[in-house]
Order: sequence, then structure tokens, then C-alpha cells
Amino acid sequence: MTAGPGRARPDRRRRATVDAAASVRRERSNHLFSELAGLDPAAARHAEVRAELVELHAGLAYGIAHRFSHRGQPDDDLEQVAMLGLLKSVDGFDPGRGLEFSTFATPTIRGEIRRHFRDTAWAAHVPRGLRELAVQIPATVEALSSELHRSPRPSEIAARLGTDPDRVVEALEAADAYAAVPIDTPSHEGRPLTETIGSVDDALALIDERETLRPLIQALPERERAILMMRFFAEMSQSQIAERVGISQMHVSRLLARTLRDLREQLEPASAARA
Amino acid sequence: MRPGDVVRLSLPAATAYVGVARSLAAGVATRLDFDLDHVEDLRLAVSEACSLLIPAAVAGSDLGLDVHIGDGDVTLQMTSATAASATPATDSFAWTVLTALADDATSSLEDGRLIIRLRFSSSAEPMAIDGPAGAERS
Repeated sequence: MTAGPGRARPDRRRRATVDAAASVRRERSNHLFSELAGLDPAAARHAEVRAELVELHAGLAYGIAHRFSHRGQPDDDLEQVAMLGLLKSVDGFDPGRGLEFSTFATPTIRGEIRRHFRDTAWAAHVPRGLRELAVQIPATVEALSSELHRSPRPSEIAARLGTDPDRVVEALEAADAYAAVPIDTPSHEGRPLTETIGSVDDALALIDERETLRPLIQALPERERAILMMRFFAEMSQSQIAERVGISQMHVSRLLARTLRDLREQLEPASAARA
Repeated sequence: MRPGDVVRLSLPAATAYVGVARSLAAGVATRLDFDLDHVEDLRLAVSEACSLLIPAAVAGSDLGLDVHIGDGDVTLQMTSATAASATPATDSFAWTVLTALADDATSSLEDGRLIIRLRFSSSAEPMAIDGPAGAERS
């Protein structure tokens, strides 16, 4: 894309007005910042100057907030967060360093908005209806799993929740992207898991790299070792393992993925390093 | 989505892109109403297949993932240009994992490309929770 000359041409006059306003604002801002630097933070005048600076630059904060809107956040929230970022910028700005205030404040405000998105990741990327649906899914999956003795299909989840399968698909994907399941939540303690699934040696009997694998698998935490062997050597489904171990199927999935990745990296350090 | 449809993805053969391939396979399977265990199995299988293809891939080449939608199943065909002169050993750990995950797993070398084909049936038959599914083999 080229920046066509036609774009820059229309009303030069308006542009000149805007420039003039910006220059007045910059002067006022510089003046206020130098006044602020000499004030005692406890003084009443300090709060006044600070408030005027925030007001003066509010457009910057709103502009940045606006660029982040339509990501599922109500605009009011974003504007407040942006204003908080602006306030932090006003407090942290050192006019002596020769930077424009906007140059200094923009990344600070953006950072504040990003942090807000991270803290409320759900709200940031998932429309509200979907979020409510996603919240209902884990319990529904659990109930259906124990009724069906297998994991449910999206259509079955949809039927149970009285909603459209397409919406369930989207909710599942959203949940997967954001379910920060802590991978180390403790499982039900008690019976040793490995008892039920035979020895590592039996499992590895047919595998060529067994000499390398055996110590790696033996070194896994008991639960990870048990899950690995149940899935790949006893060919139990993830739901069955989840039931046996007493954790969710999603958790089994994550543990399996992580265990496989770790084993791969240890088996082939060279290829893992290539990433 | 109808039987016979194929969804194609081409990626740099680098581990940074494995997650994208996983998402595609899982996205198709979820929309085909695979049960959640099967969807997770597909994800793991894509990672495992990538772990065989990427180290063997010619530097700078692409990795192809074709998702063939069948009647009651999907087949993932994953390929990369390779200098390897043999298909992955069937007695390797990675292959054991793949055969546990997929209903059928095959690999071949054709015109300098390593091809891994994995078929997943969407049938979700209830299984007894009490015993390992493979118990009847012994």
C-alpha cells in the first residue's frame, strides 16, 4: 500500500489548527511538568497540577484505549485502565530527560492495558455469552463422562446444555486457549498407581530405545509415569485414566503432552535444540 | 464438512509451528463431533508425528498437513522433504505412541518426502472403566 497524496491533501487548514492546538498543549504540559517537579507532593497545588496534566493528556489515553476496544472489553473499563496508565506516566515522567511526554506515556498506558487483558484474559478475548457457556462445560463433561463411560462429543454437550453445537465448539476452543490448569495440582493420594499397570520393563519390551527410555521413564514422577503407561502401553483412554487417577481428563491430556515433550527432548536433545 | 473434503496446511518445518498444526487437527475433529478424548489424542499425535518429521526434514523446507475428512473418520497426512533414507522405526517410542493414539498409522518414503498417515475413527464406543482396554489382548 502506498500512502496516496490524496490522503494527506484534504483540509490542510484543519491540520494546521490541530497542530496549533497540539503545540499549545505541549507548551502547557511542559510548563506544568516543570512546576510539578518543584512542588511538595503533599501540597494541594501538586494535586491540582497533576489533575490538569491528566486532563490535558486524556485524549492520548482514550486514543490508545480505543485501539484496544472490540476485544470483548467494555470500553469504559479500558478507558479507566488507560487513565490509570496515564496517571502513572504523569508521576513517572522526568522532563529533564528530553523526551516528549507522549513518547514516554504511550508504552506505559499500553502496558497497563495489556496487564489488564492478562488479568482478565477471559473477558479480553471471549465474548460474554461464550464465557458463560465455557464455565458450564467442565461440569457437563464430567457428568456426561460418567453416564456414557467415555468422553462426550460436542453435540452431546450441546444437547445437555440446550445450545447449539457450534457454540460448544467455540466455547471448547476458548476454554482450551485459556484454561490455565495448574499442572501440578495434587492428585488423589493413596494406592500406588503403578501397581495396576505392570512394570516399565514389560511395557518397553518391544521398544528399540528401551535402554535409553527406561531410566527416563523411571525418573518420571509416579503419577506421570503411571499416566504414560496407562495411555500408551495399556491403551486406556484419557477419560479412563482420569477416573483412575482422580483428576480431570483435560489435566490428563496436559500431563501426557508435557511428559511426551520432556521425554522427546531427553531422547533427542539435538532436535529439541533446533527449535 | 463432507467426506472427501481435504483441509491443507503448509508450515515451516520448525517446532515453533507445531502448535498451529495441532490446533488445525483439533479444530477439524471438534467440528466433526469427535468426542473430547479423541480430539486430545489427535493433538498429541500431531506433536508426536512432528517430532519424527521435523528433525528429519531438509533445512528450510516445509511441513505439510492434510486433513482428509472421511466417512466417520479423519486421516492426517503429514509430510516433509527429507534426506532420511528410511521410515521411522516401528519399534521406536514415538511410533509406539502414534500407534496407540491412531487407529492406523503408516509411514512411507516417496520421492524424497517422508509421509506419515494417521487415521482416527470418530466412533466413540463406551469402554469399561474397570479394566485397561487392551486387557483382552493378553
